[in-house]
Amino acid sequence: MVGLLIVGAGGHGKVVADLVQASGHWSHLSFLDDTYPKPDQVGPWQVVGRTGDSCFFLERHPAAIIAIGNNQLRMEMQKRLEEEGFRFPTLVHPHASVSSFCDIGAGSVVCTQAAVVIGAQIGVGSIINTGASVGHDCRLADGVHVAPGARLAGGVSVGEGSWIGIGATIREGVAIGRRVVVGAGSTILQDVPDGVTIVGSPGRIIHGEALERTLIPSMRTNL
Amino acid sequence: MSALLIVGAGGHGKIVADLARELGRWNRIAFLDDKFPGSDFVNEWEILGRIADAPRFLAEFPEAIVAIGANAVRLEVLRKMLEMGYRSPALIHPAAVVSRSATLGVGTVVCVQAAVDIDSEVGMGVIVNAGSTIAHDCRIGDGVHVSPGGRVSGGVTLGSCTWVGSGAVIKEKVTIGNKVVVGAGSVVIRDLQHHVTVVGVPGRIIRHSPEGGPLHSSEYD
Repeated sequence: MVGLLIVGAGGHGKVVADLVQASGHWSHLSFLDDTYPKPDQVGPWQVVGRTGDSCFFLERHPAAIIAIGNNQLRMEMQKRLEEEGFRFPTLVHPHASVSSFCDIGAGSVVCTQAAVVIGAQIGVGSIINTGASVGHDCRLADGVHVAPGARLAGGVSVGEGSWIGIGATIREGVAIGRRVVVGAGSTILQDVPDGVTIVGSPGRIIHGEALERTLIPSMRTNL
Repeated sequence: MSALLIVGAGGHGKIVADLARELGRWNRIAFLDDKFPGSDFVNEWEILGRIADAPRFLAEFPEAIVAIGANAVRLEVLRKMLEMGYRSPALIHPAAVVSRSATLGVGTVVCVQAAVDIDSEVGMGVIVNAGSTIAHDCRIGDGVHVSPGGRVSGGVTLGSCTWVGSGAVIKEKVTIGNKVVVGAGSVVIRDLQHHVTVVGVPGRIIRHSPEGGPLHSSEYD
């Protein structure tokens, strides 16, 4: 049993701490947050410093998890802490259902009541939030966030840093590009290019031009 | 072991009885329902009388759950039962997950596969129905019903007796008033005042009702 450092003491940080407590695999846990020292406590847990102070806590907390909602920031932070020598576990809530035939990357978190089904691959630093489901043979790149209760049917691919909003539904086999935002409760029936925001049922693009309109077919193999 | 009285023998009442049986804390489970005496049994459980007969059963059944779907009626009956001296525990299905840092009011029911995350405060007489999720830091008022698969994001406030339809989604930090009705599968992305009915993706208001939407006492089973 070793100590775990959670970077980010906002709402998601608390959810991760709660998960860690429920899993019972860690001797102690502490937070880093840039609001330090103003709140030096989150619930029963201590905030011990700012995010830039991470290296001072490596000895007492050899493992870390980044609990920052912003996908790009989370990925950058994880890279930096990995370089400093932190180990990134994969955290799975005891009440999540994860098939033994799927791969989930370092620093990814699977929250309570979520399901990850056979053949799914999830990159590093991703969040599969409360009650979300990732269907069979899905391919999720690094830094993806599947918000609470979102549903990915079988064979869906999601590019790096994309955010699938709460309660959204993605039809089977659809490819979602990189840095896409899928609005809350949207239903996505067709492939989505990189960098756009898509909302509604069925989804329509409301924001951002496709960065590379032809990228989708190659993205499927690159994930 | 004790005995549990369930008020309301409709669909939701059966679900509560099933949940109570799973929990295994009661050696006797029975119903009150206004369809008595025409109907005496629901599955294996006996209907003992009408809702107005509740005071007669207090000695035999120290604990009660009100399983009436209509939110305002459920809350009113729950308050009366508590005044009579009934205790009304919060029930959590063994396959639901409620964070140890969340709070549930009396008579609240958390159904199978539902989740309530850290630091959420759920009021009394609330239904967190099957497979629904309430994320962190939510304030859920008394008599709310989050229907099966409803998704309530982090930091949301739901007013008293508000009803979130099946599969509906509430965006993070949204504040919703009292007695609001959110239609099935709708997506709410903005704050809502009291007593409105909202449907669609994104949700639009289709009705303002000073009486709080279409749920009347005659519809509770």
